[in-house]
Amino acid sequence: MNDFPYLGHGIGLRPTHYQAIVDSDPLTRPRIDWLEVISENFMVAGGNPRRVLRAAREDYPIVLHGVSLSLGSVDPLDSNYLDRLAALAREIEPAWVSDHVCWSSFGGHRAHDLWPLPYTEEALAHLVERIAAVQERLGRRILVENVSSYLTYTSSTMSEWEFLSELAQRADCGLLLDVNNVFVSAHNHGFNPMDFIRGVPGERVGQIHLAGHSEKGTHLLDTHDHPVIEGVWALYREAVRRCGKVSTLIEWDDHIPPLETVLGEAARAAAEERKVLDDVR
Amino acid sequence: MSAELARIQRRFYELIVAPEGVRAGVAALGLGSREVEEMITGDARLSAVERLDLYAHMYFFRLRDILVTDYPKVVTVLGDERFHNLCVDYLHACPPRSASVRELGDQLPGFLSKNALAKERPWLADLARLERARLEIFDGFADAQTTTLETVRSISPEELATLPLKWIPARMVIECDYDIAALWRELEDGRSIVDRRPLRETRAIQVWRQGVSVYHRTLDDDERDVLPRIGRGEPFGLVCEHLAALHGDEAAARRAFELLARWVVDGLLAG
Repeated sequence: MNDFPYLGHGIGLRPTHYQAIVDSDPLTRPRIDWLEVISENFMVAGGNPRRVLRAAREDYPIVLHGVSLSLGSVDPLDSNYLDRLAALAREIEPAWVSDHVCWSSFGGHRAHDLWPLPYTEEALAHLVERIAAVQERLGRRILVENVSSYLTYTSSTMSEWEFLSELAQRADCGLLLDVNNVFVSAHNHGFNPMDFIRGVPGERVGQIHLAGHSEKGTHLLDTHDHPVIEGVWALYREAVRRCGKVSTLIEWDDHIPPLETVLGEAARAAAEERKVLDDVR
Repeated sequence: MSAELARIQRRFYELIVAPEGVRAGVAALGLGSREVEEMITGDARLSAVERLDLYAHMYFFRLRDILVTDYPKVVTVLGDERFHNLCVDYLHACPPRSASVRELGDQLPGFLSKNALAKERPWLADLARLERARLEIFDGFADAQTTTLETVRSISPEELATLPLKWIPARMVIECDYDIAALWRELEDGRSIVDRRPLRETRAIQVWRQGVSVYHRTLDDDERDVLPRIGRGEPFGLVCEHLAALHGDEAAARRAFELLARWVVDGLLAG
């Protein structure tokens, strides 16, 4: 059922690298399997963001990754936002569209953060209904991503991976498995991250995220400002064993290094995937 | 209706945005830490309140950092600490309502004009208005083809007189009580800021995008006078007639072509 194509190992397109990627000579543009862009940054009328996106789309497969759908909020879905997202998707024709399993708005106020949900039947039913509405509006199935979290609710009646598995099944959507988020949340809540990786339905995983995080003493913080650590690479290998070839993306959002460094991380992801699949054979 | 989910989200939200922090928010809502622990799991590393506090910190600092990025010159004038405090007040008064962080600071100029900081530096709201206008022009309006000098030169004077001029979409005019363009240059040059007196008349600053770059320029009296006429779609000939009434025929013709050349070179005319 996995109709999210395999694109290889990509990176997030960030302003720091606009020049190196889209303003370079079209004949010598860097070889990158695919690019993920933050949808909201390009939901504008014109100017440089649209120019960059058009230029990037000419040479690379593009994926739209959103942070503002607020799928889990009890606020109504933002129809204006959905209209703009649908228009952007029509224009760019991304390989797929994704957002997060979280809520980020209340009473019409936007948090611009990714707040965790309780893992309950009630939240599950709420999300299923809203993902169905989004998929209907966009005319395509979407991927939903597990977030890093720093708290859990006493009302939760199932694990996060059980919740995600049910969600993907009932909403008939795909999963964006953020392996770094699994590592961070596992540390913060004291569960075994391998249980998570082995607990999600591999056939529903359409994309994997890899990123770095920061140690804060009492907790890990999902900062996307470091290289991927060895523990996360180990989880990635397990994810590849479970899910097979899945489009994988390196996220680096702060203290962004030169493009070559980020591409080096993508190359390592490709090598790790190759090794696991060779061993399986 | 997801009643329990709504109850959790309301309580979470109220505590996250409490201006004095989660602990103070718990007290202000007449709660105790027990009520928070009934909702959120704490452990030996972090209590339920401390875990919520992590989210409260991330909420505020993420939004503050966006405002810092959007208003670098206001930050330079106020300094980090006072800008931080301004953000606390602003986010409390004007919580974000848009799905895009781009709109987060859209009310800051108006908020500043009524803030205590405006007593000390009454020109600060004008400076913020210019920073905001530049940000909106950067990506907020559709791209357009522009008229070139070659095109204008190829048009006969008779045709030109009947030609309605049309502005590009990515252009706006803001009215300021202070000479903000000069203040902007001082800040760009890293000079110390000399306090401003209000101008005798408001000054209009035009902000526009050419290619992917944003520019602004204070309008002279003639330009300010004729801009609304072009906005109404009046042909160039009528603009010339208006200038002739002010300056006489010969000077008006020279002036009209100066303005036309400036608008074309600046990429302000759609074509």
